[in-house]
Amino acid sequence: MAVSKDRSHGAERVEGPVLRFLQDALLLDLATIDVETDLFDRELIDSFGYVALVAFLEREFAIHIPDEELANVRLRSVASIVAFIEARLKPVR
Amino acid sequence: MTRPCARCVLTEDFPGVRLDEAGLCQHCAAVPVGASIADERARMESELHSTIERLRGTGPYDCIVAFSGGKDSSFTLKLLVERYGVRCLAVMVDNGFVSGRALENGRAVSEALGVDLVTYRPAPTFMRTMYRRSAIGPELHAPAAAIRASSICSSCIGLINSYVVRMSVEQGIPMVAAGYLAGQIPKRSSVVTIDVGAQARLRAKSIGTYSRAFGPDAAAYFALPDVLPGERTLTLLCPMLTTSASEEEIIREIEPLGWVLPSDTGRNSTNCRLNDLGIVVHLRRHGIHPYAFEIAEQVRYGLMNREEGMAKLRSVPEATDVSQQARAIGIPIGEL
Repeated sequence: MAVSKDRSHGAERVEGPVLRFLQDALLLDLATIDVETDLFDRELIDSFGYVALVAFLEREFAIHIPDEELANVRLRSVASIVAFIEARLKPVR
Repeated sequence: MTRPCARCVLTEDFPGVRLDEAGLCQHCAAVPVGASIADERARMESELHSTIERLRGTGPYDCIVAFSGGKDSSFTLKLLVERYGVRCLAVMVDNGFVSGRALENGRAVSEALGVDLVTYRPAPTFMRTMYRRSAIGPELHAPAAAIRASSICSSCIGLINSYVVRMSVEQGIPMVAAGYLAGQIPKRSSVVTIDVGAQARLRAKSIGTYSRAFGPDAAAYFALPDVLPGERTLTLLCPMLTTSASEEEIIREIEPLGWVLPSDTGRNSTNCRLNDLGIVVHLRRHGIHPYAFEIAEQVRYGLMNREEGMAKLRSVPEATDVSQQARAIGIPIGEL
């Protein structure tokens, strides 16, 4: 799987754990997707998987994802997940 | 030879499992031991209690319980009614393969607890098609579903959940509950908030797949309410995660309600006669026991000892044991 282009410090610290979760917990074959793959459109994550993904992101990055953010269903690809989390983390100096 | 985790029953070739230097899988390495487990249960019990108190009395019933007549959903109903005083509506889905004894158990337990019971029986022709197509042909469910349940069970659970969610939204009932055990739900929490509109949009793609596999009626069975994201949340209660009771203790708790252990539901179920068929198919398709992840979680949290868990996973049905169930859904034994 190709990693995100133009990676920032935030993307680097986010992308690794996210990919590992997708591989280990949601059992995705990372060789068959890229960072822009819509994981729901490809039916790689179901509703249970989505709840698990959100729980992982909240635990791993110590953030709270409010219900209204969940409702937007923006966490559809590796790139969008990384961007979503990166925007909520403090910048690395 | 494949190494097992030093604490639970998962092996290093189980999907997604890695063993560390101490021989622990990552799931066990992340779980506290001893008193910390009791603390975690206490936290989940407190979370369950406060959620119930917040939502109680806001609908015609407080909670719909997805009720199979099996031991776990019977115990769930008992906990909600007796420990938390929740006004429940028990909804039993008769999939055409529920044991007669389990149906009787459902009636007995709901009556003993003074709970209203609704039984819903989807068209047997559709259900047989759904089970047949779930058992043979390409996998229909997301990759991670394979470690939660067999494909036959995942299809059935999806249909039941859809029915219960629709009923909850239509009747304005704020909570739903099910007898989920640790390992069957996506996070270790006794309360899960679900945005119905968001889930409906996620479900849309699956409905296309199910319609192609099961026929056009699948859309009606699996559709979630057409509400906007953010418009309606539903609270899922998982009371089983708050209990430290073993399987034997659970059965001892529900027997006084008139519950009797069925004799025709195979090795891992107390309500469905198709369960063993699902195990046989799953072992052949994925090479893993569909109960392994759930049993590992029970062992990890001290609800089952490791030897008992290993024994359960070794005791698997053969194709010849399930030929009758396979024929009942239109699969010749040679096609399994």
